[in-house]
Order: sequence, then structure tokens, then C-alpha cells
Amino acid sequence: MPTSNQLALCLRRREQGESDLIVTLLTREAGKLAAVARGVRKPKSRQAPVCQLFALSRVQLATRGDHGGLPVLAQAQLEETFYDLRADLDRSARAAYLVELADLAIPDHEPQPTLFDLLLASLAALTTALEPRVVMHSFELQLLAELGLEPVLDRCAHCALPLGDEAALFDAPAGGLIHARHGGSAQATSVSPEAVRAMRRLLRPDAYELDLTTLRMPPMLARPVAAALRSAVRCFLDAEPRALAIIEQLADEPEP
Amino acid sequence: MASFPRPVARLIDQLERLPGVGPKSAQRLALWLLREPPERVLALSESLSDAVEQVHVCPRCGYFAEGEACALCDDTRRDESLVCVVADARDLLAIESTDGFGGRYHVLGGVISPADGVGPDDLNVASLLARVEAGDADEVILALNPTPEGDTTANYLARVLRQAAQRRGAAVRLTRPALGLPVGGDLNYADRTTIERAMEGRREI
Ligand SMILES: [Zn+2]
Ligand SMILES: [Zn+2]
Repeated sequence: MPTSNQLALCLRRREQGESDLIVTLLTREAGKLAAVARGVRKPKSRQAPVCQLFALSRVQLATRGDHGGLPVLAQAQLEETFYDLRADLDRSARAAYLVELADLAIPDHEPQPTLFDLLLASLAALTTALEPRVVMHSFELQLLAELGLEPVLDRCAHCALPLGDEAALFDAPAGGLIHARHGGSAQATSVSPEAVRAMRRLLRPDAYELDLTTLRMPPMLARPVAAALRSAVRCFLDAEPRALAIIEQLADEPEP
Repeated sequence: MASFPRPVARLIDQLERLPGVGPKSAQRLALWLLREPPERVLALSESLSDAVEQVHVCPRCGYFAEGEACALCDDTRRDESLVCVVADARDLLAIESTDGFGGRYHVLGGVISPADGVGPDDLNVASLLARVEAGDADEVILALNPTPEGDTTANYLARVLRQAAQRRGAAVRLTRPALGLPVGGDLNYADRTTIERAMEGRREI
């Protein structure tokens, strides 16, 4: 029996057989799930646009006995493609990273409406943001927090005392920021007081009434934040997102 | 617990690396191969090593070549000033099947897909820029699928190709095939008439 209409974002697709796809969808109500999309690689398939990366649709899934028990995409109505992301590789690479991170971090069949809304809002913000990296770093922090993996940013994760004006390190294995004098692990990266402030704000953009689409983040500030969050993702989620390598590849290119 | 003999396990491992083949399909294929008459399976293995040993990627355009350059690059009747960029060899053959295009090709070897860890450095982009910088092309047709990855790749290429043309102090016309290809559609699966119309009705980007 087909399930009721639900909002779903396409996170990933994998070819199956001659013309089918297996899509990984993040739904608002039913969490992350895989579904079979039949015949979508044929010309003029009406469901093809629904099975593209970043496609947001209202879908109906039908549960069948075959396909290893995977539900089948019965009906789908495309709502949003985040088309403007395609204009700029840096933006679309960061969008791909957010989606990959959500896919890696969210377990199957576990409803995560807050993360669903955060991901949609972040994709929308990426299409227009003055500095796409601001949106990306805020998403990383908020995702970790929502999963209960929030890095310690308001005190020293080693001795629990306030950080004060002392030099600080971001040490993911220790749980977050620490006083530099404790040493820290091999993964520890140094962060300036400005970078610490930026991370705190990006963790709670609403509390600070930030508009992530207009916020600027100079490279001096962005570099240590990116390094800290990269190690947090690696350490807390045990993940090495593939899109990150491309984002870094592009960052090495000279500006046009 | 019994397991497959080592050579069989190795065969399954190798088959599993093929696209779209999971562990179960790999086992099924391996068992099928081992039930076939040996000479037929060895013919398969021979054609595999022939293809790998005798064919290489054309250093100029990225298509398959048996000699130094590919047959398409060697063909002097083809229009040098028109270069059609495609994702892979199948798309090239789909366009060739229409007889409507007499220019040259450039095969990228895929599309930019950060989600799959594929960036510009992983594709034949540098050789394309070199062709444009050398002044070969007046028009570059970006015949990439209207998907997120295809569109992103086309827009990225448009930017770096313009820069490459500027470096040699000239302009290059950049176009994309127009009507016909459905959104999210695949060039590879489109019929001849659709491809022909798309190529004729290309628009500048
Ligand atoms: Zn301390
Ligand atoms: Zn060639």
C-alpha cells in the first residue's frame, strides 16, 4: 500500500540494472531511507528529475516484496531543485558536502525533522550566500549539536576552566577547545580568539540573530575554523566526506 | 566453515569492483563463468586484455585511440574550429550516430561530481584548456546532460574556457545543445532526432 505523501530530499543515487536507480532519500517524517526508482534512466521518464541530487519532492512510496524489501517510488512531484547551485562549482561542492554529511551522520529510519529543516534551509542559503563557507561551517556545527556531538566551545574541554585570553587549541579527541598549555593531541589545531568567537556564533546563528547569507568571513578567520571543523567531523562522525577533497582542491585554484 | 577456493574468491572480488555489481551478483557471475565452456571464458579474458593493451586514451581529445591519436583526431575532413565536449565515449557515439556533426570532440571522462569525489583535476580539463589556448576552437559545444552534475560542469567549463581564450587574446563561442533533452535526461538514452535537434538548436551560454 502506498504511504502518504511526504517531503523528501534526494541525497544519493546508485544505478541498478539497465534503467533503475536506488535513491537515498531524507524524508521529514520517516527519516533517511532507500527506495527503488524504476525506469528513471530511460528517456522521458517523468521521475528522472526527482532522482537528481538536491531534488526536493513530495513522494509516495509503495512497499513491495521484491528488490530486497526496498520500497518503490510510486509517485513523485518535484518541488525544488536548488537550480542556482549549478551556476557555481564552489557552491554546489559545498552543497554536495552538506548532503553527504547528512547522509553519513543520520541513521536509517530515524525521523530527524530539525536536521531535515536545517539541511533545506542551508541548501537554500548556499544558493545566495555572499560567502558559501559561512553556511557550510554553521551547518557542520549545528548538525553536530543536533546529534548530541556538540564540540565544547565555551570552556576548556581539558580542565573545564574558562578559556580566558589564553592561547587555545581545537582538539577534537579532547572534545573541543582546550588551553594551549595542555599540549593537545596530534590533531589539535590552533585557533585565534576571533575564530573561537566565530564558531560560537555559527553554532547558534538564531541566538545571535545572524543572517548567514550576508555574513563575511575573511580567509584568515575561515582557515582555522575549516581545519577545526574538519577534524571534528573526522573525529566525531568518523567520516571522511569525499566532497571535502573537491572543496579543498578548488580552494587551491587561483581566484579568477 | 567452508569457503570458495582462493582463485574463485579472487574472481568474485574482481567482479564486485564492476559498476552496479554487488556481492551477490558477483558470486552469481563467477559461478556462471565457471560453468561455461573454458574456451568461451578464455575468449572473454583475451578480449579484455586486448582492449586494455591495444587501446589507450587519445592524448588530444580523450577518446579511445589505437594509434598515437584517435581516428577522429586523425580525420582531416573534420572541422577543427568546432569542438564538442562530451562526458564519455558513449555520448560521443550517440552524437556520431546522427551524422549531423562534423567537428571535433573532447571527452572529459566523466562529469564533475563532488559527491563522488570527482573534481576538475580528475577529468580531461587541462587538455581541453590547452586546445582552446592553442587557438584550435572558435566554438566549444558543451554537450553535457541537463543534470545537476552536467550543468555544474558546463558552467565551470564555460568560466575556465573563457579565461583560457582570454589568455590567447581571443574570444570563444560557448554553446549548449538546446531543446529536446528532458531535464534530468541522459544524452545516451535519447533518440537520434532528439540529439540532432538539440545540436542544431544549441544556444550560447
Ligand atoms: Zn584548560
Ligand atoms: Zn582524439
